[in-house]
Amino acid sequence: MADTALAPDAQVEHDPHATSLGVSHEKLGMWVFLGSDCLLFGGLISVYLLNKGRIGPDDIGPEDVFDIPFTSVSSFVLLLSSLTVVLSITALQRGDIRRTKIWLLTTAFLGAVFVGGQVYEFTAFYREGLGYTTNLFGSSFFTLTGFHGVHVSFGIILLMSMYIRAARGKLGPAQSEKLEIVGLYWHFVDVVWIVIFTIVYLFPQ
Amino acid sequence: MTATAHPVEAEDHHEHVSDWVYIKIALILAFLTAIEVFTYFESVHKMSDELLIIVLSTLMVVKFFFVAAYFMHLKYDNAIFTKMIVAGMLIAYPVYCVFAFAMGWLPGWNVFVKIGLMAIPPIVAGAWLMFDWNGPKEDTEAH
Repeated sequence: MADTALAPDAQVEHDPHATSLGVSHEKLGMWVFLGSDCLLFGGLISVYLLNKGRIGPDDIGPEDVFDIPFTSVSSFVLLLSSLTVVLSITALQRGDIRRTKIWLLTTAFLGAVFVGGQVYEFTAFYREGLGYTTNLFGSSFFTLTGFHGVHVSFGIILLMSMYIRAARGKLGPAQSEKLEIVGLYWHFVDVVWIVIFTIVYLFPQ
Repeated sequence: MTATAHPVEAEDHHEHVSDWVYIKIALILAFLTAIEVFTYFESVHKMSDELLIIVLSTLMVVKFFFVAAYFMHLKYDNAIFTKMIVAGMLIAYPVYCVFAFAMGWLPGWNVFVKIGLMAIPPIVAGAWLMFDWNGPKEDTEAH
């Protein structure tokens, strides 16, 4: 009797497509990861909000260093990359490998432009006297935006790995879920930036 | 028999959305971002800080949900993904807010405005979640 009851579970274990939830395990795993990442960024944003005002009267604060027009352009670039990654997924689902590769490369390029902009911004802040240990604002700002930059960089690596798979003929419509999962990660990086851009840069200081 | 005794194949039937829909969503997001950036100009800064934060927060939440619903396919996918991410955020957001307020964030603000800032986003998200709780793809019967 017990053996009979266990049989379906054994089937789940051996058949990668069988799932008791009716959804892909890989995709569910990515959503669970994204949920946990929300908590990480939520914590970092809270710490930033607490620390940004805890500076001395002569210390460098947000209003001394932020360049909103420049960061706005970066935000538009990252927003555009969310569109290009979704276009790569739809192209793959249609079986259009050539366009998939083009949109993947475009997305990776836009991500690289965003990271490059962040490196430029960090360098400019440093030259203006705001280092990682200058004050609490600097520490929390660099930690928050730096973590986001690391996420974008990792996303670029994922996108390029998908590009290489496509170039080697190992990514077709049947494997579109793999690209969809990478796309989920990329969109998550975008939505986190939507929150960071508003709270860190645009909220009144 | 428990539910686990009926494993079913993972869903593989997405509602395919045309590229034009995604382009329209991207244009809406760009427009909302442009409004956000516009608030940076001094003329708009004549608004009170409270009002500015409420406007920016609303725009931020709308953009967030556009990306999550369309680009991340939550609108078309199985509702369990939506439950997974939104339920976590519904719990996390007030916790972080209470922590931040307790540690002295926005010390001069009226307590009712603080409660509103803490409660409105989860209420809006919760209402949306309840409205779309079952999702359009809930039919996970065995094929």
